[in-house]
Amino acid sequence: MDGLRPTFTRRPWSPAPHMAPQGTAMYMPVPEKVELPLQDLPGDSYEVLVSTGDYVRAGQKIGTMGISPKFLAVHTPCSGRVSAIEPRVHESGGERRVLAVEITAIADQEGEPEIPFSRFHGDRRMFLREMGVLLDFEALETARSLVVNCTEFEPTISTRSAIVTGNPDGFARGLELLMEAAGLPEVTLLVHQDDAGMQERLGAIARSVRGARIKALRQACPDTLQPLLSYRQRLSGRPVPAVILGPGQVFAVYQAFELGQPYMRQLVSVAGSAVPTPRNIWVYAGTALADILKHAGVAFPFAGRVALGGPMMGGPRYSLESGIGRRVRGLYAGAGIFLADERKSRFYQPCSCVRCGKCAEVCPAGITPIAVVEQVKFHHPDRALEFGLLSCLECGLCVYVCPSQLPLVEIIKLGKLQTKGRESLLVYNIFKTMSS
Amino acid sequence: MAENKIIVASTPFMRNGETAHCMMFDVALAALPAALCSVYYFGVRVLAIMLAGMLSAALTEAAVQIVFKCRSFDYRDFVFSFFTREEVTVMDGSAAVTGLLLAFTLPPTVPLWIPVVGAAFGVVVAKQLFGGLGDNIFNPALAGRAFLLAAWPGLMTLWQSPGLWAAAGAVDAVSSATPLGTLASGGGATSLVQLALGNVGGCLGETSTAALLLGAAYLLYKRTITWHAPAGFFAAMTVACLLLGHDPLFHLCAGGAMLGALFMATDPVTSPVTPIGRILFGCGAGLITMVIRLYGAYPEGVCYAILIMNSLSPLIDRCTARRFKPDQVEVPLVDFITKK
Repeated sequence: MDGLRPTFTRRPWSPAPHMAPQGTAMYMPVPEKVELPLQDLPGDSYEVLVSTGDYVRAGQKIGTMGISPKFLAVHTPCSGRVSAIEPRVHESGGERRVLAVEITAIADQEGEPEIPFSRFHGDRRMFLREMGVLLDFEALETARSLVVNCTEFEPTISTRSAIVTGNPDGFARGLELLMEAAGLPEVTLLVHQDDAGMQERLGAIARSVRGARIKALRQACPDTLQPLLSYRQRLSGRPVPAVILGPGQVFAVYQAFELGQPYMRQLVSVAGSAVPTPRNIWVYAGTALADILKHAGVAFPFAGRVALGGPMMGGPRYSLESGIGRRVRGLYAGAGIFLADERKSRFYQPCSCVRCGKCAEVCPAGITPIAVVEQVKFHHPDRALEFGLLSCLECGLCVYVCPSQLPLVEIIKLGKLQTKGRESLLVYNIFKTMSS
Repeated sequence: MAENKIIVASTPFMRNGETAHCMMFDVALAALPAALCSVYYFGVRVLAIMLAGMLSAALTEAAVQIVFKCRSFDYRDFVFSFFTREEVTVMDGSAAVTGLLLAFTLPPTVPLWIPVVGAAFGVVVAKQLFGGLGDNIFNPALAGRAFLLAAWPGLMTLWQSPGLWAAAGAVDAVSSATPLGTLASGGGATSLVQLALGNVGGCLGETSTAALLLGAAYLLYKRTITWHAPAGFFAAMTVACLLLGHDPLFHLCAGGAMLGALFMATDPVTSPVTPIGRILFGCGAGLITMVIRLYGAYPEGVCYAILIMNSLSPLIDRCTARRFKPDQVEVPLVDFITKK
C-alpha cells in the first residue's frame, strides 16, 4: 500500500516491509559498461592510475578517491578497456559533475588478483582503504563503540537480512575483523523486536562472536544516524561516540581480509510498484541503473519515480545512465532502487495542517516537525533552530503519517539550507575518506 | 524506442493512506452511537435536526468555496468542476461533521431553522473566514452554538423529557429540566445510571455517557484523537469537584462534559499539538467549565470553556514545545546504545 487512496482501516505508524524482496539474492551478469566515479563531490581531490584505451583486469586498482593518506581505492569490477575519463553527472543529480572512469567490459572475473593483507605490515585501516571498503575511518579513530544496524528502515529493502541470512559465517567473521580493525572489544547489533527470524540468526552469531551483543529496538533505526553524529561533531566539536555500520560494510570487511577481494560488488534491492518481482541482486560497482532495472524485469519504457535508497529516504534520480556508486547520497549503498509508477490521486492535495500532532508522535528524533516547518515557512530560521531543526533525521515518517499531505521533510531540508547552508543530511559526506 | 519518463520528486513516496477524509469519517462513525441514543430517547425528529445541520454546513461550505475560493470554477460544467477542483474540499466531510456536532449540542425541541442558521454561522464565520479547515481558531460547531445561545436564548433552553415517542414531531414545549438545571435551581442530583444511559433531559447528543465513551474508544483505537485532552479535562473537573465538595461522577456525566471532552476538546485543529499542551488545554477547559457551572449564570459552561481554551491554544503550543539551543543536535538512540 503506497497510500494511493484513503484507507478507512487503522493506519500504521511506519510502513510494513511488504514490498521487500524475498528469497536468495541473484548475481547479475557483467554489464556492457561500468562507470566508476573518482570524486564524491565536485572539487574533491583524486588520483587516476589508468589512461584511456588501457586494458584493465577485474580487481585492478584504477585510481583513488582523495589522496594519501586520506583516500579510498577504486577497483574495476570487470575486465575491459578504459573508454573514457571525463566529468559525468553526479549521482545526486543537478548541475554537479564528478570525474568518472568508464570501462567497456570485455570479460568477467579474468584472473581476479588477490591482495594479501600481509603486504600492509598489520595496518588494518590502511588495508581497508586500499581495498575500497567504505567506512567512516575518521570516526573509527575516536569512537568508543561499534554498532551494526540490522534493522530495515526502508520498507522495500531487505539487503541487510539477505546478507546476514546468506552468509552468516562471513558476517560473524567480519564482525571479529571489524572489532580488530577498530581496536574495540564490543559490537552492538541492532535488531527490530518484531523480527523473530532475524533475532534468532543474530543470536546465533552473537553467541559465536566474543564481544557481540544484541539490542532489540521497538522501531527500525534510520540510516541517517551516522550523518547526524558527524554533523553534530562538526557543529559542536563533540566526538562521535559510536560508529554505526550496515551489514554490507561488515561483509565487505570479511571479503577484504579473508577472500582478498576488493570492493567490487554490492547487494541491491530492486523493488517498488513498477517492479514485477522485487529482487535482491549482487551488482557490479558502477553498473548503470537502467541495466539493473532491465535485469530485474522492469518493462521499458516506463513513467515513474526512481529513488536510490528506498521510498522513505532515498535520493530521487532523474537519469538512469549513471552508475550505482558505493555510497548513496551519504549513506552506504547497502541500499535499493525503488521504482514507483506514477499514479495520481485527487485525495493527495496538500491542505492546511490540521494540527493532529501525529508527526510529533512518530518522530524518532523527538522533535515536533510541524512546529519547525511553520517557522521555516514564515522565515524565522532562528526559531526553527530553537524547535530542533538540526536534530531532524529526515527519515520521512512524519510525511508518511501526515493526513494533510504536507511536504514536511522537503521544507525541513530547505530550512537547513537557509540556516546552515547545508541542503540535507543525505548529501553530507560522512565518510571523510577524502582529503578535501 | 520511446523515452522513459522519470518523474523527479522528493522522497518519501509512501503514505499510510490517511487523509482528512478518513479522520472526518471516523468522527462521524464514532458519533453514531450517540446519535442512535438520541433518536431512541427523543424521537425521530432529532434525525431531521441532525440532517438539517449537516446539509446546511456542507452546502454553505461548498457555496463559500465555489464563490470565493475557487477562481477556476466552471459553472457550465458544474459537476466536473465540483469534483476536480482542489479548492472545493467540501467532500472531505469536515463541514458535515461540524453540522452533526452542532446538532448534538442543541435541545431536541428547536425548530429546524436553528441548526441551519447555527451551522451556516459556524462554517462561514468561525471556519471559512479564517481560511478553512486547519486554519480556524475556534471550533466551528461550538462557535455556532455560542452564537445561537446568544441570539435565541429562549429557544436554546427549551428542554424535552426523554422517552417520549408520542411527542415526536411536536414542538410543544414539554418543560423538563436538565440534570444540571435541576441542580442549579436547588433540586437533587439525578441518578448516575440514568445519566450513563442517557435517559435524562438535555441536548441531543450529550445525554448518553455510555454511547459517547463507546465512540471515543473507537476514535482512540483509530488514533484519530489522543487521550491527553479528555484526561486533562476529567482530571481538572474531578479535582475541582472534590475541592468544592461536589460529586465528581455526577458532574462528569451530566450536561455536555462528556461530549465536550471527547468530541470537542479533541478537535485537532483547535487544540494544541504537544501532548503536554493538550493536557493543559483539557485542564483549563475542565476548570472553566466547573467555574461556570458552580458560580456562573448558565447551568452549563462546556461550550464557553472550550472556546476560551481554543483561543489560548497557540500560546500553549508555544510554551510547551521542546526547545533546543541553536547548535544543539540531539541524536536519539546513540547515547542510549553507547551507555554501558
